[in-house]
Amino acid sequence: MISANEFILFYNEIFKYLDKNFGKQEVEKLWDGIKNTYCKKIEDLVREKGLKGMSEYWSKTLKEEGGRYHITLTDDEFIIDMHYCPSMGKLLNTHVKPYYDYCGHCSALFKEIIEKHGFEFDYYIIDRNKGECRLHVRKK
Amino acid sequence: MDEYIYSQSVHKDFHQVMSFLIKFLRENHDKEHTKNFFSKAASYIYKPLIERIRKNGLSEMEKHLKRVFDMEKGKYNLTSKKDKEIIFKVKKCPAIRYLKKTGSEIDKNFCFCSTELVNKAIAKECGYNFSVDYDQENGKCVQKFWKEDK
Repeated sequence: MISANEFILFYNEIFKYLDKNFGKQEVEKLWDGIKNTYCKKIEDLVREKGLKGMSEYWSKTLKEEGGRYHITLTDDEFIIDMHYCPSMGKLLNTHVKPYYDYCGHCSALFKEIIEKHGFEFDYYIIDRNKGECRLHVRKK
Repeated sequence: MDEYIYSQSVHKDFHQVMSFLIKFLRENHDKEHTKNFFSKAASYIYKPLIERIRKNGLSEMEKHLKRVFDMEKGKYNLTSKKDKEIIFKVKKCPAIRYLKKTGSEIDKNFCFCSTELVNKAIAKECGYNFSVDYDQENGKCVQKFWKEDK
């Protein structure tokens, strides 16, 4: 069994493997597949509860995953200020070298799902090597 | 495995995505790519564990198996003979149990990739043999690591 904690390391390696053997478009195809298969939960929450649904989703997953972050929820905005990404943290604290666009998976999985329900989605990578980023969603 | 990984909190939804990665490789690329990916990735990812096994023997694999299965509350029985053999009987695989509990798809290659290919690669890197008999449907398997007598 590959434990849930070891998963991120394989996730990162498959990006490198697909990119090296088939090009970046194959990595994007994989992200697309994950989005269409496993992002139903967040899509349902966004459709039903909007910004509150996003907060509900990430409050639970980030609590389980760890890391350091701050979530802001107002009537028209949802923001994650990620001070230390738990996913990137697993790469930064091991000998495993991160895929050059590892952080790209986040936007690839969530942007379309959120935008199609009437929101603007912005994702800013502040420093990949420190696991710092900001996800900012606004009501249109 | 790097020490940091053992100390992190567990997000079991990752088992679902692992099953998807396996399915993606199976459906989009030939079997050689699946074998290649999991074998090479395991040799690289588990480098610290491989080095510990080379230095201290199979007791390091024993510790690793116990730590990851305890982290996820798996049920198992482990017997070992000094540095010669480990028999690891998994009675309830936490990954299969979670996937079933959540009604998630379990790819037909799930145990083949995440146990057989991975552990075979680790064992080979350290000069040991590895075999596994698995019953994926019921989340059970018997894994064996051993060294041939010279």
